[in-house]
Amino acid sequence: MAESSRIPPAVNQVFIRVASQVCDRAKMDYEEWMVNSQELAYHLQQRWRELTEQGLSTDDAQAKALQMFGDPHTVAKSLRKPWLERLLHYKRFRSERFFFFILAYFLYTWVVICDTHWNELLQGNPATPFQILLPFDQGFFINGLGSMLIGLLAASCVVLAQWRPLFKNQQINRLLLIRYLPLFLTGFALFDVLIRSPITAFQTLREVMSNYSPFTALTIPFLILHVLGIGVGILGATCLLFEIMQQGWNNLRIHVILAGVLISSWIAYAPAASPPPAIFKNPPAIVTTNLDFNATESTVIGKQVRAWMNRKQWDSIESAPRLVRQSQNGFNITQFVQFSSGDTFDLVYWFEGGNWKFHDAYWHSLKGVNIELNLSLIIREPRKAQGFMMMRNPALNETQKDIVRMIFNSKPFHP
Amino acid sequence: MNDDNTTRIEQMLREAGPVLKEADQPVEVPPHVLARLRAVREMNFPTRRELTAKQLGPLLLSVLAKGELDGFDIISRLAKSNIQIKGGEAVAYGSLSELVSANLVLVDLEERGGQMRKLYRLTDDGRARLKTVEAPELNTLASAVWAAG
Repeated sequence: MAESSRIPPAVNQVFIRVASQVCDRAKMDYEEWMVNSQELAYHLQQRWRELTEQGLSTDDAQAKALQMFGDPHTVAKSLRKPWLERLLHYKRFRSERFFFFILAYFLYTWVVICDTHWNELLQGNPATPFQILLPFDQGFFINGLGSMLIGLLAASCVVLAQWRPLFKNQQINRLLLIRYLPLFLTGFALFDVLIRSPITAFQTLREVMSNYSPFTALTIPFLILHVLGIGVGILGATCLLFEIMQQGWNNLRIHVILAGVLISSWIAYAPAASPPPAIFKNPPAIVTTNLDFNATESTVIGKQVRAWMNRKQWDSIESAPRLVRQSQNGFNITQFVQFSSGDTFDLVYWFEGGNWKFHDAYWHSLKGVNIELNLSLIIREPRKAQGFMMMRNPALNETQKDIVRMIFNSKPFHP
Repeated sequence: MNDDNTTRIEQMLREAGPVLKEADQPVEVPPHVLARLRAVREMNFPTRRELTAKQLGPLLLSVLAKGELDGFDIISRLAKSNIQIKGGEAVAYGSLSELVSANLVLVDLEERGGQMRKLYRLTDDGRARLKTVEAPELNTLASAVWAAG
């Protein structure tokens, strides 16, 4: 076959256009587009030459060559790489990779703010989301809106590290190696998204699930937000990691810096990642007594006391006890029962270790304080009620706050 | 298979067609048709086979194990060996691209006649992969493809 036989420009133009269309539809990267387009055009040209040598006319050979070539859609589909590979590897998607990382960090920031707010609330600290967002301190950059700035800076540091200075003076080039140093910040951001985010999400989730019944109106959006935050976060961090890899993954400096950041972040965050449990002081006014009710019923899952309480002849419906809270650990059930004693004192009983325990100091100790209470919330979600109560009653002194914390703390008070 | 052969076989099949359709009927097949059918059966003419892009991968590896080729050359040899590619012959470039992505095949760029050409050759990984494919027919077919050039 004569490779040099001349192809009419009109035919050649069609072939080049088809090859370009295929490469466009295959969404190829800049470099491979050129080479593949030439290869496909060459294929069509050679096929045309072969067919004309067999005696076909110019037009027939063109039509036959295109027919043998195949449908451009099908060919493009066979040449197209999976979207994830394209997103992570292709130069043409470089800006998308940065955008995706910033988007992921934005979402991560809100997940962290949400987690921090709920953790504070569950610990009984009267912190509103605005109080977490606004103060300009260290926490602002770790748990607040400042996280977004860190995300933006992390992406900028990668751009800086990708810059290749080509000054004639080698001293300046060597001096500019300092541009790799800000990658510490990138490593910190990657650590945040990849490691800290799932850890804090898991801790908050565990806390929320232990305080609220599962699959309520609160827990489902909570789960969706966190799954989305972690999933997008991992993808965004991967985008940035691939961006670093493509521009010089063989560079030892990048390895050392990223490894150093990951290790130091882990050491720095490991204690902070699990917030210490709130320590509640025992209020001095509390009186506790063990009561022994032999009339409790034994069931397969433990002692069932509510039925007995309901069977008792109480003076009135108002004075009948209400089950405030029930928790179960294996076969041990702890039940909290609350009723009005008639002398304006609310008593709280709980069944623990085979004994009924009670104390009556709660409301008495808070007497005289204008307290806004939401009893139904206290009964359904005691720890959430604790946080709200703290927020709505800022006039409480420290002792009163301790009492409130203890009342609503999900962990039973051990006298 | 050349065009003459194809025409001849098509004609024989056309003759045999109506009788085959009525084979369930208690009609005696005329002896001359039976003779034609026997002739077709015994002819051992090459059959066209259609491969998908996925099926093409091992064959391409096997062909490239015999030497370096460019894309058009590979596809031409396949066509000459009566191997059709589902979706059009250019789909083979997709298969080649997948092999390159998997580091089984390497691309060398060569300038010829003012045009850049891609030459495909097998890598060590490709050779190792080929050894894991146990299909005796594959080597026979690859040899036929290689010889068709």
